[in-house]
Amino acid sequence: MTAQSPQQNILKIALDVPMDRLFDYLAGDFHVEVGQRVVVPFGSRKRVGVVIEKCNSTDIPSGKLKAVLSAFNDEYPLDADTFSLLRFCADYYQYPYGQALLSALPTRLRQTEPAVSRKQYVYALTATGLKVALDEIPARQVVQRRIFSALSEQHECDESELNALSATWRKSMQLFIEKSWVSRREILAGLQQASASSAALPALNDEQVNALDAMLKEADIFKPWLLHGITGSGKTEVYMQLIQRILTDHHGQVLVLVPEINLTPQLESRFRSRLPEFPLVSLHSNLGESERLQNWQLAQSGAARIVIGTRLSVFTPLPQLRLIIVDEEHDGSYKQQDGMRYHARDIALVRAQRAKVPIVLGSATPALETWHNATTGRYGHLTLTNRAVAQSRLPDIRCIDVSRSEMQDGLSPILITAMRERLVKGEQSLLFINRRGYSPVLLCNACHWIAPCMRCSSRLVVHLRQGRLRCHHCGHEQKIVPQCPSCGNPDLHPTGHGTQRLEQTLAALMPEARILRVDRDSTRRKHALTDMLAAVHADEVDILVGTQMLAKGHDFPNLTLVGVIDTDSALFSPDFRAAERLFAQLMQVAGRAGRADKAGEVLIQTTFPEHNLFNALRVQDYKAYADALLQEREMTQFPPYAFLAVIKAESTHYSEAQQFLQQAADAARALNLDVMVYDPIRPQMERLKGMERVQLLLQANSRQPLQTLLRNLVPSLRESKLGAKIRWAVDVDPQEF
Amino acid sequence: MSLNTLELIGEVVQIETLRYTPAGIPLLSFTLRHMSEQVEAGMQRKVECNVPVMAIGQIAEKAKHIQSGANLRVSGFIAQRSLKSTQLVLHINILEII
Repeated sequence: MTAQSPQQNILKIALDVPMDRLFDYLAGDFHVEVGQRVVVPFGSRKRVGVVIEKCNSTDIPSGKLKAVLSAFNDEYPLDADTFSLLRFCADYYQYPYGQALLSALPTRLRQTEPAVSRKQYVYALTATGLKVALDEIPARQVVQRRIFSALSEQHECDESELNALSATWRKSMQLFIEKSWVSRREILAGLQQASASSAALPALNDEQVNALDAMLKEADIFKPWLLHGITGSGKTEVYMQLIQRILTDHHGQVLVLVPEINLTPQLESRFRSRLPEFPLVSLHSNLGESERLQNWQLAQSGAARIVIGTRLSVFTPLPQLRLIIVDEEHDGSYKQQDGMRYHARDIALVRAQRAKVPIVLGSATPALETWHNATTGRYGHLTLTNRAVAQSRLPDIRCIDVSRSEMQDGLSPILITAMRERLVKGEQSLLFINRRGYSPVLLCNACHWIAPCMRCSSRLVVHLRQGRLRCHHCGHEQKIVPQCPSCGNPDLHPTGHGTQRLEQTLAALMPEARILRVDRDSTRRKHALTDMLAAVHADEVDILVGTQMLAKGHDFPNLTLVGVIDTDSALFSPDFRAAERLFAQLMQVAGRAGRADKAGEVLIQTTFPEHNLFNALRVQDYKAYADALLQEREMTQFPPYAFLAVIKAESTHYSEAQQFLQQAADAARALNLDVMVYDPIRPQMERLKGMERVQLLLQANSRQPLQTLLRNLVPSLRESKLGAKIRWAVDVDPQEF
Repeated sequence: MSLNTLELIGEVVQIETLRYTPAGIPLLSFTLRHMSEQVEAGMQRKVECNVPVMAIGQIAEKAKHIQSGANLRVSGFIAQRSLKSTQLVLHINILEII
């Protein structure tokens, strides 16, 4: 520890506390760099902070200034780019900077202990060890002998090999190390790297080649690209060849964002096998804390060349960033729904701009915002209209009018016949229903009571086999009531269809079929989904019943029929994005059918077969539908033609939340900016988890006045006494409200 | 005001399969055909009717083996089939095979 020059002895530190300011501390004896983590006293607790600035003055009287307790000098400090990116996000999304910064770090880096990921070693015999004969180890020491022979045979052993030899290998190894027979070397488990593969690259079609060439031509500047490719058009192949070319030509790193954790392992293994020469790490919340920290640090040090991750990975420090890819950029899961409510795609764009690198937004059904930017020329626009596998055709899509057909437990005869045909031909069918459980409603016929959630404005979903009623919003769970609590009638009716009921109906209709249900309930066990998908690929399944979990990214070559059940509710949703989302979802689901050489068929059960959305879907015309929706948005002044922010408040007492937002609305109007301030209203879900909810919508024609308003309004809300009693948050560019 | 008892003798003409409520209570519906002679306004007359019957709980377990053609003596109360329907259903508490 070196002596500090006195003028740099005050540290401005970001802490994970809900106050939008930095905190001043004395460096004391610690030699601390900007970007380093430190532990400081805060109130009665110890907290982790990040040093943002070193300076020589403070407003705090010197007697009150506290000193840093410890500093983690062994770690890489955070870089300035990460600071400024998070500063920008904190400002834009109206979130305290310290919280924004710390919540972007892996959990281990938010703890007051030194962040160490468990180290892994490989072991080898030393020169001394090589001279030792096996007889020198007593014959009774079976484990020691076994390990020693393995080491002399294999030259080097890693921990998994040793674990296979004996569960107690560590004790024996310790002894060998003490005797200097064995030395060990640390390895980084996350990095698996192989030599370049010699396998020939899959040939690209003309459109793919054009897309690739266009992007490579402008690989050294900030340039957003929309890669609009129909399902199965080989977007991933374009990504991989683009990454390969960029990483081969430059020493750099690539960030690949994917929407779902479920899709990361799949994509990861595809990338690993195709691009083995570049070290790759993944970052998502399913990783263990230790692994996540290690992968994060590998990205931070520049050792990992490819980082694949979900939305949280958008903040990963990447010192040599050369390219960002956002796959399925329209996906709703890029939007964080609590804490700092950021949109990972938008942040990726900002990041690409700051790093002056290209960014590729890929989708079959781009978000209307992105589509708007591409059609107005702000983004480069690349289109893939052909399926990559030359023989594969787009599926044939038809609507079945359910009001005109005799339904059998929610299934129309046409759909049942179509499934039977597939069963005979040995092909697979997928029934898509976006509702898990047995039935969404438990109804009393005698008095029309419906089982409600006592904490939310929602109904309890029947999970029949488990005998439970569950709220899918707050997690409340109870036994199925034996009789109607309102009139006493025991003959209660599960009404409507969920995945479990559909599975049961199908089993009764086609007892010979092998049916697999894939929803959040059936995949709760670790690796369950992977096993299920493997079973589908191995043709051990005839009919798949699934929720949106199955809609994305999965590629089942033998699947030729997709049935869509009961999507009409989305057509009436008050959410202005509902139609866009439904269209994207149905395009995705339809894309599951007939991806290899077999023709696919999609049957949609609906009461409104003539709805615009289905007309566009039938001809798979995203462009026409997107343009029509954009016209609607322009007329009604919704995004992308307007910019929105919502202040959401919730409290156990409705009046408090209401009053708080009324004050906010009054204050917002008093600022007299070019922003439309609506009145506080109740959202569709009025009550959630026992909290009464109210929201205030702000709308403007450009970002700037909206940002100015929020910048002036939010600090005063943080001071509000009422605000301290309730829970509230600002959601800029909200996805749903 | 709580008087609601109906006793009836009849022949089982139609019987549904035993089902269970979501909470697992057995439930059996069947139709009883009733034929008798009654006195009305001091005059004899014939009465014929089909009565929907519902047995819930233990009595449903007991009734599940009966078959069409069986003659039953039942007793219970009547209730509307549902809020939307005016059809009455006899919910039975007592069942005797005769």
